[in-house]
Amino acid sequence: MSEPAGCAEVRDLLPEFALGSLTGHDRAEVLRHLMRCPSCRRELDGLSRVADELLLMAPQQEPSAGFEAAVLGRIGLSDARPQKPRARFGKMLLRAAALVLVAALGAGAVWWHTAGDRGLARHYKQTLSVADGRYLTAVPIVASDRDTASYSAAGYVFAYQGNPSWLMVTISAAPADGRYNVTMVAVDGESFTIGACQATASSCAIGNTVNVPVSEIQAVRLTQPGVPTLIAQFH
Amino acid sequence: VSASDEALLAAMSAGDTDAAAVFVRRFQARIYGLALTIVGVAETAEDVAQEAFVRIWRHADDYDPRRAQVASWVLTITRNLAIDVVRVRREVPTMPETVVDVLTAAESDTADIDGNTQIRSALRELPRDQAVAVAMAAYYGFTAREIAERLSIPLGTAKTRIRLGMSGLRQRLEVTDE
Repeated sequence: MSEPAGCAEVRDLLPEFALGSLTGHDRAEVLRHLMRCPSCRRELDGLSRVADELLLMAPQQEPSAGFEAAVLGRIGLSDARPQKPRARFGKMLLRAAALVLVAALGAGAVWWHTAGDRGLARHYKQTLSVADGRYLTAVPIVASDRDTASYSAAGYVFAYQGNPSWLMVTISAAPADGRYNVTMVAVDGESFTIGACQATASSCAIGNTVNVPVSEIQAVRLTQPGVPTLIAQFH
Repeated sequence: VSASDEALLAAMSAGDTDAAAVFVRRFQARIYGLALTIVGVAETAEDVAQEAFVRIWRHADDYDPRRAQVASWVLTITRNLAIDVVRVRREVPTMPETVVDVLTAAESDTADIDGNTQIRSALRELPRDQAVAVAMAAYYGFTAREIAERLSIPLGTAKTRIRLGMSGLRQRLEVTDE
């Protein structure tokens, strides 16, 4: 085991932590240290103010007409239908996930990157039909103790509803390296082991078939002793 | 007298339609502007901005006024969503090295009415290599290692630029506060 990080080491990492760009082991070390060091927390407050100001500098720009109605429609605070219905964020991630998936399968990544949306939809449909699939979804994996304000995904679970259905768990920013036990929890509370994901350099991936319909998955959990549990919450 | 950001957020969370409309109008240009700066594509930026408002509404109870202004909180949520989209796509649509130019260019536009002049001047005064590294981390969530790879510089140099850049900005902001 390495020594717990001291103030000097943590102070070196705090600027990146404040900017939200620290990942993996370093981020976990800083979090652990901050819990017991008021002096470093004060230092972080000062740096966080700078990080906040930097984001406030982004040029402002008005979205298209109908944006407000679309937002209010989505949060259920408007009777009016959005003037310009738009693809939901989930669908957008889905499209992106389909791109990643197909690229990962080695099926002509370059061609896919240049395909228009219509072509993409057609080939996405074909990809699904290969294994009697109905849909593919992507759910972000986050630490269970995450703070909304410093949120960023540790990875994604891609879930494919088909015959068979399967899950692909990809981690690119694990809070710590090591072996994560991956379990799927169904909406009825029953747990199923997916396997173990061995993270090195904050990354790992594991896939397996599942006997539960994707619509009945409640969550996928990645656990490792001494590390905050990672969760992809489906429901 | 216009309602405070905090009051609007609380009222929106409680289901007040009028408050929600005012809140969206107040923040939509900032949220969409930030999303567009990061993802670089108008349609994707609108999707990110819409999703950001949904998350803000859903997590309004988590907002802690002691930790950040409402504007900072909502922009952090927007930034993280935009970064997720860029990372899933595995492509960065604009040149991340040039985001600093976008940030330092504006002088007399609407952004500076809100008092962003100090940070803008501070960023301009910083050595350019430090400003570039800080802006890449702040807007794209690039780690020091990713910045080192993109700029073809040693990891230690990337870390130093971020550290000195943040410390330089902080000093300049604190001086102007006095």
